[in-house]
Amino acid sequence: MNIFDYLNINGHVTIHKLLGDGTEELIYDDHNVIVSGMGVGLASFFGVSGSTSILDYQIDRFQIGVSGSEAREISSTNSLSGPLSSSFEYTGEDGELFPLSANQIKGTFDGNISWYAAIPAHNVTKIGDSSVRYTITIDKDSCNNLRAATTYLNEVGLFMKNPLNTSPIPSPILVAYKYFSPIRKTSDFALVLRWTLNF
Amino acid sequence: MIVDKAGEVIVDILTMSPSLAKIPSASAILDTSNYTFQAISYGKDALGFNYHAHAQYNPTLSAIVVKSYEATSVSSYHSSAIASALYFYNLLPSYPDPLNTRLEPESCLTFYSGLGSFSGLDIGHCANHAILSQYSSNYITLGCFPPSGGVKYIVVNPSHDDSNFNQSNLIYSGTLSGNYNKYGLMDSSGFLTFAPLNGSQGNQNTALLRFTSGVLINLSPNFSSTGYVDIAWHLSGNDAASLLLYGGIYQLGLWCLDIRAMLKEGHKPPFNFNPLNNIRKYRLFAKKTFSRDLLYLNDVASFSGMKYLLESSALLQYLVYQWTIRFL
Repeated sequence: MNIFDYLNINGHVTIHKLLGDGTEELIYDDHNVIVSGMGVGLASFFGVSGSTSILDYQIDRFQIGVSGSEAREISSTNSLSGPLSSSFEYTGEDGELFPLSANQIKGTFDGNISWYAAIPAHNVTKIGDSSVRYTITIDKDSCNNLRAATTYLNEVGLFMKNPLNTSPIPSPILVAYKYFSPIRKTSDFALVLRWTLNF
Repeated sequence: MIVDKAGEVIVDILTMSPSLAKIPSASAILDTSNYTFQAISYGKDALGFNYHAHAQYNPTLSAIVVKSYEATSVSSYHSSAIASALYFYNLLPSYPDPLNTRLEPESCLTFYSGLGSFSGLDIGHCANHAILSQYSSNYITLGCFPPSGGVKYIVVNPSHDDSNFNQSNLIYSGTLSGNYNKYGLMDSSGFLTFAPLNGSQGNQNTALLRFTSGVLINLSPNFSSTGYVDIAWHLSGNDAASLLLYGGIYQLGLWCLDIRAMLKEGHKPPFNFNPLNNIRKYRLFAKKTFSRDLLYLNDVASFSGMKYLLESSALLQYLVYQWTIRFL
């Protein structure tokens, strides 16, 4: 048995549509998949083989994508199928997301630049002794300018910052993944994802 | 078994505020060493803390004393023998529970009620009373590790009376000196510290059997694909023999620091290990419970299993334990 079996590490995601008048509509509510990257990150931490700062083991960013599938909801998934691939896709002209670029660990090191959006520290909340919640707000102006008018958001992943301590460009690793029903994001509403990980 | 407290350690890692990095006096809180594995402990059943060598005290002898319930001609002692002699005592530790915060949830207080009663520490596992000055006269009963300078032990037959030692009851005797105390690796609460090394250094030191700086993280070359974190440490023959006299090893504990508890007490990192005045507080991460003594040694004909440990300079110099935590 590994640490996931003992601790029953799991997660849960809700997605709310936040309308202009302030009303919040729940549009998705389901478990998520903790992927093997979480084990890689924790093994690196407790094996004292990576970074010496715990900040590199924190989940400080996410990717959202357009070509996910239920088939990717397995522990061996190490990347999104079709993550947004530019700063502009995340923020457009006026979006409030904070885009980040970095390499990525996808089973092996991937030296290509990938794009992420930051999860501000104040949106990381400890709820109880062994649960943490990440609140991701995709404001009304963000993630509207996708590569084609017919593309829909349908996958999201959480990333640990840089557990293997690559330098000078960090290499985040996917730790949790979720496929969801396609959402056509427009400037009429914001999306609020509340993602809870239980250890 | 990984216990629930391990989840709390991980959540602490994930939620510690990054803004601490900007505060010079607090930035050290973000160092990984405050959250990684930092100690190993040895445990046994709760009742065991009042049997075996814990049940004997004779200040005149100034020796660890155990009664052997085995055939006297073999000069032997092992913990199962006492269980077969005392029908109400089954040696078994508590069943492992994810909610455990220490190895043995029941009281592990050694209370000696004869000849000047006294009691020791109740940590939930085997403590190291020998290094505390307040126990200098009775650590031989409280246990569980010998001082570096050595302590006499004697194995006696069941006719032995603490208040009146009779040489005719003596089966076997000798001296034990502990490596853990020689190298200052264990505090009074029985926490065996980790060497302050990174993973690759630990691997090199394990290969060379360099355990004098503490427990080692022994990462294998293919660690990144297996996700196995191997932890290796050394138990010298004399330390093993001492644990055997006090009831054996039925539990092992793997501990991280409890940084919140230490901050609450006003301590600031780095939390350096000091065996004589250890400010470190620990949080249980994992435990392993055994139904048989890890130090169990059978006698063969006239050759004593006990002597195999006790005459370690000639026979058993050390045991190397390895504990693997799987993250994938």
